[in-house]
Amino acid sequence: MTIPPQVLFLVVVAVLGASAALALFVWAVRNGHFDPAAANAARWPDPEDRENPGGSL
Amino acid sequence: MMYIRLWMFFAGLLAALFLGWAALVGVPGVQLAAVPPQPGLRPYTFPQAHGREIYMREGCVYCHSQQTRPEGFGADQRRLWGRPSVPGDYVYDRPHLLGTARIGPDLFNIGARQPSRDWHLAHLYDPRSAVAQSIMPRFPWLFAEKTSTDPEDVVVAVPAPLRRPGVSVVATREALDLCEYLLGMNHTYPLERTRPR
Amino acid sequence: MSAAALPAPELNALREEMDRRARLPVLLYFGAGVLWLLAGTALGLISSLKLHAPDWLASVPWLTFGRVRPAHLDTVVYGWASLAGAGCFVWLTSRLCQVVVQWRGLLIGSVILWNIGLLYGTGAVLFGFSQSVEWLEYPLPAAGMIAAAFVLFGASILRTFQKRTVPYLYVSLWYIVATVVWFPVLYVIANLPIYSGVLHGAVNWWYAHNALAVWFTPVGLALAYYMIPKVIGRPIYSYYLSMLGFWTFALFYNWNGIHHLVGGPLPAWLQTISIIASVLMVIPVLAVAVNHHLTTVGHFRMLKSDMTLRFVVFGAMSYTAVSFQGSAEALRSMQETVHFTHYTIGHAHLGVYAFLTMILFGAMYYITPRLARSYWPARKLITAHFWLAALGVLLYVVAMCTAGFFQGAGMNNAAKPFADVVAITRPYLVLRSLGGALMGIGHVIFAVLFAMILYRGGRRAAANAQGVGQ
Repeated sequence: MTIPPQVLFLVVVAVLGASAALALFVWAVRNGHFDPAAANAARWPDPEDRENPGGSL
Repeated sequence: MMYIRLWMFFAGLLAALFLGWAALVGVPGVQLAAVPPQPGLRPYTFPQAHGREIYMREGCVYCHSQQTRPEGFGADQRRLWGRPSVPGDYVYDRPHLLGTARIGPDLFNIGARQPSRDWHLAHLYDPRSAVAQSIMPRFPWLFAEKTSTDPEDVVVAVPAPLRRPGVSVVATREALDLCEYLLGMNHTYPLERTRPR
Repeated sequence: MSAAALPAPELNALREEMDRRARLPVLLYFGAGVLWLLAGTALGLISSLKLHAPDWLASVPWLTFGRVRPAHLDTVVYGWASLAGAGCFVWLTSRLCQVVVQWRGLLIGSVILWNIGLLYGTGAVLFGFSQSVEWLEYPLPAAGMIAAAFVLFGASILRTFQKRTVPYLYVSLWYIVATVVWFPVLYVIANLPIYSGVLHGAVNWWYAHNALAVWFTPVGLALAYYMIPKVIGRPIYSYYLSMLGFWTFALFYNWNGIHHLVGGPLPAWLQTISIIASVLMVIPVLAVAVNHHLTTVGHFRMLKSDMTLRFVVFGAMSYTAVSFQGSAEALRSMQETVHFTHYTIGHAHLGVYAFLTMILFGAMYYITPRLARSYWPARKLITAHFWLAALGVLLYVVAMCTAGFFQGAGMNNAAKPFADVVAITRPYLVLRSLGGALMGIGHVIFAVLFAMILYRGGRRAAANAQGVGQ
């Protein structure tokens, strides 16, 4: 039974994509790229908003 | 914070775009390239191709579709709009005119449903003379008003309220070619299972 | 040296410098955007009236429905929305990178080229040279000019981004950088004159939905992500949620396009994956909605006083609504009824107007005073603009979606003559014109306000220059 090309394509994309995402995630964790403090700071639009929220000019 | 290298960001963006293209255009393109034209499909004649350009110029695609859906998905079949259309019916269409609106009816087989050139001419000149509730625009610039007609002129049967004494409405080349195109919209030839090219 | 480390007076000086440098290019984008908004609105109103008064101006070829309708679409998306969005992005990128706008000459060139392209393209459509491909009607020279104009704009954005001094990238920046990378590639591929047959249909709708995915929606989201926390004075609820939202958005939205061709002569698997992708959009949309909602919750009373927030929150909520509507609309069961009907047009306006345009209004109400160095002259007029726009689009969308249902049900009833189906839609088409008229009046008010604030700012600047106190 021949596999339809679109099924092959979707399966390849799904497998490669999931592997790439997993590899990226593992690499990020291993290299300390998850930094909760920095992520918290990144929630403010401008860096100075932390000190002066709502005081935008 | 997750710091990724900037090049990884750009790569991810382009990968996302490319993946979508591959799925929606790339792979289908490979499949569709192997589809030959339906044996019953004729390439457009010169007048039909010219008429198709008029169709495009006047924006007919914004109200009329050219794709007939299978039974079980809408009433196209029960309305006798023609057998379900397939990719092999569209091979000579450049650009495609599939359409996404049916403010007016589907036209893929209008040549079979309405084979009268005179009907189409009168309808283009004044749609409401043919269909009272129509909201289709009129196309008077596709016609010429003449006080004396030549033997080869195609005179349009104008409804009484629009008739003016001594004036005949004559179809121009554009109107005639547009009719040629519409009359040629006939894909009722039998569907044949075709082998890939 | 990052701006977070600067003491307040230096920070104010930097902001003033950034606004001063952004002033000319951004106000040019905004001014052009407002003019195209008026032109596009007029074309839209004419189109709408023609559908229930088809004999009005029926002898004028360049006003026939089949030409003004695409002219309306192209002027409001490539004119108003794109120019206003580009202007907002220039200012926003500068602010978020804490560096003055770079390569301003490219931006001036961009605005000029963009407008020439729009004039050429729109004229071509009206006077009989449309390519007759939805969203891609402009002839190649006009499309080329717009593509080049966009590349110039993108180059300035990327250069500004490259010179950034901030310690982190705020989420809006991801969307901004993504659009300038994505859109030119998309636009060029779609405009290539190499397609035919049903594959051209696939390319057409891959493009048109992706234009939403890679340009128009990111404009709205980037601006909402900035304006909501900035005005309220609170941070976005979650950084990781916005990251999840961005990448699932990038991944899924790209695959939606063929939901415009459900039931059509294209491979069934192709239609199915677009339907699945359309439903999966619920994930990024929820991420954005939750983030915005949990940022705003407890502060909704600010909607009474702050007009930017009012426009932007209306837009953000409309984003959630139109996206969920779209996810449902893509399903075959819905498509069987509403495909080919006015429902699609209702959905489109819920997106491009209630979501994107309202956010653009809010952003321009925020940014313009900072550039014009003046205050909005008549707050009551802004309120009037809001209500006219909000009620107008609400009327429009409800009328068109209702019409679409009846139209679709009627078309699927083979016993019903087609002419009767058309007749059913007529009262809703009149309501659509009414909704459009309300929006149009709002646009005139907006244009007047915009002109007034520029005039005021110019006079004050001239007075200051002469040493006269205020």
